[in-house]
Amino acid sequence: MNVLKLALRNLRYYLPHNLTTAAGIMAATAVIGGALIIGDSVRASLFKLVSDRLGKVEYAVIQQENYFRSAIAGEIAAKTGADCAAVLQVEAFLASEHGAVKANLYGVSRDFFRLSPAGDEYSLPPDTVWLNRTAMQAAGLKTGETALLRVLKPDRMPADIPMTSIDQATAAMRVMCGEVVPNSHFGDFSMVNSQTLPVNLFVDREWLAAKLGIPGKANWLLAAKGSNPAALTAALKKSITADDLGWKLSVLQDKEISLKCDRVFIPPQIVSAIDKLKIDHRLIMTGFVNRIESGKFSTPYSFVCGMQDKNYPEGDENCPNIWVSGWLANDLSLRVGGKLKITYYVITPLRTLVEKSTEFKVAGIYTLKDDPSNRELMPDYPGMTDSESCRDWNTGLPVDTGRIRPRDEAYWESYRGTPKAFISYKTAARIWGNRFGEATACRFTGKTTPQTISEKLLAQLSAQDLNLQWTPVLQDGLDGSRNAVDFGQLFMGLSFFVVAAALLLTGVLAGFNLERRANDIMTLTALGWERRRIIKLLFIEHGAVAAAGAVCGIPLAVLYAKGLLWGIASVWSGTVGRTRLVFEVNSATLLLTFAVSCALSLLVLLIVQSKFLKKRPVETAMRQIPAFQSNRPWHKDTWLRTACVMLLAAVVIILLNPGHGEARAGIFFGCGSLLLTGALLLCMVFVRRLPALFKNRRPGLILCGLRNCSRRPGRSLAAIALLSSGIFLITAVSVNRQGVLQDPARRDSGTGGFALYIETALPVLADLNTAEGRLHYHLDLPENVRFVQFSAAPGSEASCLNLNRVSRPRILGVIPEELASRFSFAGVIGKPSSPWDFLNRETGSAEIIPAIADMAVINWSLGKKIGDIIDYEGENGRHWKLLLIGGLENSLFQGSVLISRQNFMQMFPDISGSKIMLADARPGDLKPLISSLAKGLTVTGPQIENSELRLARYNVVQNTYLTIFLALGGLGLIIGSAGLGILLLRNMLERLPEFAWMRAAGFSRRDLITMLLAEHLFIFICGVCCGIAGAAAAILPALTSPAGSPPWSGLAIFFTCLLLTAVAVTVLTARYASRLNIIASLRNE
Amino acid sequence: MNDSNNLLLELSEVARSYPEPAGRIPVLTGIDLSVKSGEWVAVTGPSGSGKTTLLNLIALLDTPDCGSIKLNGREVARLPEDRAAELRSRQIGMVFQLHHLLPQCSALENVLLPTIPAKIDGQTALERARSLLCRIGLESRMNHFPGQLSGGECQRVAVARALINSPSLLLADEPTGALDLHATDALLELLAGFHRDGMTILMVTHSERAAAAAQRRYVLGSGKLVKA
Repeated sequence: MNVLKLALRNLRYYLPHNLTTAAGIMAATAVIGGALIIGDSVRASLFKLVSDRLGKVEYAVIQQENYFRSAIAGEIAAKTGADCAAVLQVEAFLASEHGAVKANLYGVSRDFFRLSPAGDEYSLPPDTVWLNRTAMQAAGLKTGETALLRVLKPDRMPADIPMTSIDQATAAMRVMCGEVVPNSHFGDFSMVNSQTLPVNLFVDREWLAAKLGIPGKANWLLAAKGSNPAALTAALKKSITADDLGWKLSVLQDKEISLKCDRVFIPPQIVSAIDKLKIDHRLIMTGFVNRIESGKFSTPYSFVCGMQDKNYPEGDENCPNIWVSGWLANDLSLRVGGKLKITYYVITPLRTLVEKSTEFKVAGIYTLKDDPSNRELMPDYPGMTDSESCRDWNTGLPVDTGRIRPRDEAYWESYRGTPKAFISYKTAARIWGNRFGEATACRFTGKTTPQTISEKLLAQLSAQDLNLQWTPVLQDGLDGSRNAVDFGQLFMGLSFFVVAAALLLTGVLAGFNLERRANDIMTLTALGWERRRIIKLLFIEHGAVAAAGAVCGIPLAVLYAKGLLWGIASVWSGTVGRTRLVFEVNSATLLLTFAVSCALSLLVLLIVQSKFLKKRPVETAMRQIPAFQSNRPWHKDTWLRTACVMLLAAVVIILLNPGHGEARAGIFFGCGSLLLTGALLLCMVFVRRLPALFKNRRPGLILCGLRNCSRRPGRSLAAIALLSSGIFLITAVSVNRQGVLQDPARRDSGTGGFALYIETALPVLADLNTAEGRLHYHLDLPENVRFVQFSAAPGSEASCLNLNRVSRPRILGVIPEELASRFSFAGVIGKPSSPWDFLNRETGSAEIIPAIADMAVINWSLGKKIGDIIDYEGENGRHWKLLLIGGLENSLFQGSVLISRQNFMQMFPDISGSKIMLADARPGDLKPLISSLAKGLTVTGPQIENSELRLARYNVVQNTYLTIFLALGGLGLIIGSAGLGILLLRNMLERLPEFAWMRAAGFSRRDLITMLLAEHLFIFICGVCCGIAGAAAAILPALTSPAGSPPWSGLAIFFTCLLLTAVAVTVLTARYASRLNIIASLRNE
Repeated sequence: MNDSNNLLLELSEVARSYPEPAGRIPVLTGIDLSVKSGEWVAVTGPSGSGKTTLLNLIALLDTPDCGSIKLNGREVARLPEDRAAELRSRQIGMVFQLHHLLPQCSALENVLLPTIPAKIDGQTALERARSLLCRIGLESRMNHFPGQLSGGECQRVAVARALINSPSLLLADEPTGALDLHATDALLELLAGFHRDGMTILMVTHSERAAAAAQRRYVLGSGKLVKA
């Protein structure tokens, strides 16, 4: 015989009791394992989504504004051996009777499908669009039906340049719906890291390119797995030509070589590269001016050229020099030394025309010559360059043809866009320089060729400079999935109460088992067994029970996980949207489940064991005599004082009503905890004082029942504490559901007081707050309707609708003043009166840009906090740091990060127009407003949504999590109640002789039940009251928030279930006790 | 065999009380007791007089409020738990009113239990246990479980268990309390046999029959021990 043998013998002998303990451990294991398996499953689902949407693609060149030869893909494949495909991607929407459906339109060829998961090659017939399943469902289309496809026409020229006409910005084409592309064949292809299934349309690339006027062109490149990124970069740089980049290099009559760009302005990084070439050159900035005035004379619509030439020094910065042609001098009666004023438009976002003027001093007059080189100084503006007359100009600028005189027409006929005056380049760059660049041309002198210049420039520029860097899209996708919202941890948190209840039940049952063996323990002690030997014996037994419970709980964990997954995919689908979930179990998780469950259970068992063994052996054996325990001294006054202090502190906090946002919720939660603890202490004092209250008094049945609560005060208080804690936690957390806003018109609400949220598939290129903008889109709107328009850079949705960790969130640019006093902030750096103003503040570094986002986005999607920095790679590979200066409270901006419009233009100079708008309108104006917007903005594919409903969609996720918490918490509380029931039953079994005597003395069965009901319902009522008292304080912020009302119906159901469980348990155990055999009980005594 | 003139156990001014809300209730007050080696002493008294409390103090299962307890001349009243366990294992054997045999162990295994903390060699312990069980007439029942033995047989096993480590002192708390007349006689005869072999026995009982078997009698009443 040894300790191990005795332990095994004990395990077998007490098997039924050990099994009940193991049952509690199995329940805890099932919940822990289930949560971890859910985490694995969601993670696996996200990984699978990455695989579905990227197929065999590992690297990609993704950009919007440059259209290069699609044959480059073949050249790169030949040079590197990597499988490569070219894609023409344009923004589009599908117009159907269901409305406009924003879609990703991909012009593809066979090589694209070769990179799909299935790897089969397809050729798409022209005039046919193939859709993925999501697109088919969203548009409500069937194979063979026709639909209207509207796309943004590719144009290197930024739409914000007023010289471009926005009338031709989109193109419409009627297409026939072809097959449904399954996700095995790239149906769900996407570069955006999100589990939301994309709406994809596929057409033949060459057909699309021809339709858009860019035959043979593409703007994306895809490279397969296993490609060497360095080799890809080198191959791309070798293959790219000046023509691919929209550079126009030509030899002029005077042998100078002219460099111009399709996008009108030469990007700053190209200018920097030119400066490093060590080839003589002159930078040129030619501007179109509305008028040149001197005195009462005025010349309309002319070009003035700024040239980097020592012959054109700037002079006085306040009144710079200008050299005018003889033609102009004659027209304005100018003399050298005279003054003139030129008036021009500057480039602003949304093509808002802002007119500015600059005064010049005439430094010289030159003879005008019809020199083709000078004609080339004019930038190439479609609609102007090839016009035969001024009246034929068709640009985006408002041209008053009434001002054009016959001599202006004659000038145009003779000289076309030859500048009428020259200024220094420095002056021109200062007055006309913009985010697109500070030069419209460059002239190279000396012995060189266009080929040489092109090669040298390309060698000077990096892939980032050209916006042609290969992005590791597969790695980014996997990283986003790997660091996604950890559903395992999330469900562990949500299931915390169930686990706690199961472990509590385990502890209670283990405690009963130990009490049952009290005599064994005392015997061993009396036989000389040391304490540590007894501890070792019990440790072996408890370890075996914990291990057995954990092992048996694992199959339950798998079943529980399947149940949870079903819930997530159905009733709780708000958490994951339309994501297809796969069920994944891996052995490491099961091992972890076993280890964690074993450890937790063993800890609980050891705590119970330790408490049990703390007493002397004599006391252990005498545990059956409750009178001995109740005579222990306790410090009534200390507890009473502590309780009063806690309650007073809680009341003071409530009256002070401190903090705001999340901090306030936290303070009141703490206040609720104080109230709860104070109330529990008061209960403890009251329960222990019960005997004294009944001194020298003959109580009735009900009071007898109450008196019995003090028999085992520890157990009574444990029951009250368990009930009250559960009620407090579940109520306090669940009530934070965000419901429908009580007053969505409030400026501090999540809608900011805006009535409508409008998102367009194609950018709106005009300011809808101006008469010109409304006229352009034929919008007949009341004067009081105002819009706040946001520039939008593509990125991943950084909201709770996207489970992936977002590294490249969508960025919105806004004029901060337009949002003053709107929305509420949950947190902000410092204590500014208007946090929105912070977006315009200087940060001391050009790369650090202040940003604001929704607090939930900051915490959950980005994994950051206020004051943190998001590293962001913008256009041309430039790195930025977005400094999070403020977090909004549950706003419409979930999914995006906001920066000032000015900073946006720095980060994304090539993005024009706005795709997101908020409309401020009176409720009575909404219907006609929606109708007008839907009609007027048709060409942009608008989706117009009520702001309140949009906000509610974001709240669905949070509310779903809270619903899950309520459901699981309720389950936990019910398990806890079952444990309480066992505790009560145990109490009654201990008192069987007492009941037997009472029955023998004449108490009826009904009397016994009445007494027991009184005793246990008193415990229940105390628990509920303490819990509600604490919860009432904790939920005050939620009740007073503008975010809507708590889920009263859900809570009502919860409390009803709890009450029914408590009453059922009490009544059942009371009836059981009352039916026991008196004689047998008395005989045993 | 010990020299009967040697004092094995000596209690001096031992007192024990228990806490109540209104104060402490004294159970034992100023107990003086001396037991020589090889003696058989009985302590009688009415229910609630503190007999079991006295035995628990001597068995080092409880600690007196004041006074001294010496075993073989060494003070043992306030030893650390481990030392007290060692003494219980090697020098004290205890028999209770209810046998307190572990129901999941056979008679032989119950007898072997005290040899584990005493670190006696397994084979030696087995031989000693078998020998004891033979002596108490349960040779053929040694592999039976307590549920298969009568009350008297269980109590005899309990005696064998108490003596397996050859203790100096055997403490018996109402050993015949749960037995009928016949079993009582058998048990007393057994104890007498061991006493004849030199065992020192301190027995607490309210049975006159059992008390008569002892050499000396004390009466415990009002917290005091008085020689009968």
